[in-house]
Amino acid sequence: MMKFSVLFGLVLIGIFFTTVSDGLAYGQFSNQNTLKVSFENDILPSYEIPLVSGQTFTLSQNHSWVQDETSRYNLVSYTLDGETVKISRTARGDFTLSIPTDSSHNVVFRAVPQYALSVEGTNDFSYLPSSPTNDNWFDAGTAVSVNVQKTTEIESNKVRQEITGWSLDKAEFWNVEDDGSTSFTTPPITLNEYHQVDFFTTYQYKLNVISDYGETTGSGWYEQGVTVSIGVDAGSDGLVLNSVSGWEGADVEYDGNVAQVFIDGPVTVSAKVEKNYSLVAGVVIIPILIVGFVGFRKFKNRVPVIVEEKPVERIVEKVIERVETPEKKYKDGYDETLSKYLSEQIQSKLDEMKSSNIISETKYSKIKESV
Amino acid sequence: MLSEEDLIARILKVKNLKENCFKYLEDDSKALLTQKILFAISELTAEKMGPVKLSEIAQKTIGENDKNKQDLVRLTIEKSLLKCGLVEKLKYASNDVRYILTAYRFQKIKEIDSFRGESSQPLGDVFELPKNTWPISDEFYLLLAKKHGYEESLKKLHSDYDSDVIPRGKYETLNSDYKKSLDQINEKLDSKYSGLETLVVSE
Repeated sequence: MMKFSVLFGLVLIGIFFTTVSDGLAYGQFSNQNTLKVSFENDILPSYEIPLVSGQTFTLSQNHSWVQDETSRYNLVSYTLDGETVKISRTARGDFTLSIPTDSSHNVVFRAVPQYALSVEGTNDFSYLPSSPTNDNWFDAGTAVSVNVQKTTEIESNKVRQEITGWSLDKAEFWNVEDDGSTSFTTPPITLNEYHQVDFFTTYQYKLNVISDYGETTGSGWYEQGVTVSIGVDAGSDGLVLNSVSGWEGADVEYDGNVAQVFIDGPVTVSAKVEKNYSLVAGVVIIPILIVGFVGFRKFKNRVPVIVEEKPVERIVEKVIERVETPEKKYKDGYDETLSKYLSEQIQSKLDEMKSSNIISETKYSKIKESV
Repeated sequence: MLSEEDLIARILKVKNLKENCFKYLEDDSKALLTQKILFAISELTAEKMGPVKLSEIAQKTIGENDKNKQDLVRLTIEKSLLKCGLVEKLKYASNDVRYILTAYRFQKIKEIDSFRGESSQPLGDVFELPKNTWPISDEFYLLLAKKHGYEESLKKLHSDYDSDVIPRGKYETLNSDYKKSLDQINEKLDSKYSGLETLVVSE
């Protein structure tokens, strides 16, 4: 009987401790706060993190992550315990959120798929509308146009690039018409997959036709390989006529009437102008000579009076001197001198940047070739 | 490929590095593969103007790019440079992974853990990777050179006009043309390459 009482007592004590210890374990688990993180449409697996009371917890999530070879997801908003907050969108880096640890929380991230739109053939372009992540990636379903400047100056007033056409995904090709506008905008392209826009360009070179006298014709932008007719209406300075005697600065084909330049790069040609005094002689000198001769014959028959001798030649010289009012002579070809100085200065700056290790040897050689 | 804006942002940014990560940039680590990889990525990125492949990094640092050498470089990058946030890994496709530096200028910092929370304190000057390894397009350097050229040419033009070397008409035409070109250059430097000119030309 005694043994039975002892055994019964031990069983009761066992039951008591089992109940108490279960209660303690349950109490410990129920006090642990957790953070549950999930993604709308299950685009990434959910996970749960225990929160340690009294310590700050920072939740970190990439702004973008790869979906497949040509698309990615980008964070748009999060919902913390039912309250949705928009996220400032960016392509790179981590989004962080401080989570209070006083109780359990639930965070649901929302992200949208994005596709890239690549543009080749020009650097002078913009997207319409611009990318929400400030790069060349756009939310799925967005219709995007590419706006491009038709003309880009490669070298000021010398070489420029002109957009002539474009293609989508190297499959379809369209010409860009010359409608007088400075820019061209493609039709909207819907981004439900990766797209590539290629622009096709042609180089144009500037032809400058200059002259110290009169007005020139032919200056403008031309494509390589064309032959351009040039000319100058040299005009006159009063009775002194200006006439073109030749051309300088490039291989100009000139037969005395028509001048033509073959465009093989940027070129400046200047007209050589000569002064023609034949009209002065016809209008001024010959009548003076006639008047002088008649006067001489008249006075020859009169009683000679001593007067200061003014030979006709002297008068003619005076007239010519007056017509040829001395004007300040400037050296020709100052444009070329300054242009050469500009090239030297550009080259010296490039050399300086190379010697100061600002530009690498490879880049220096590449740039030097293009200058 | 990364946009030019993205590459410029990496140059403009100064990245804080703890001492254990900053050590990879210091002279003491010159002989370490880690530093060689860093400088190789920097040089290759500048040449290609974009992220670079493992095989290219291995070829540049070790002189060979067989699988063993590539594994060695990949492990070094993953164990140290990726963890420190010095290098970013970009996966373009399942078989196309490329690497790029997160920044080109770094500040050594010391982390202070006090009862007010964690804070950091800068140590020493900002460290810059060599400027000739910054991923800047040829156009930028050409613009800098042209800017200098036009400024100097305008000075010469003014001086020649003052000395009566050229007539007034020609002076005004050239002055207007050259000023217009200089304005266009400055506009582009201030918009597309904002902040870069000061960094590149400063000693």
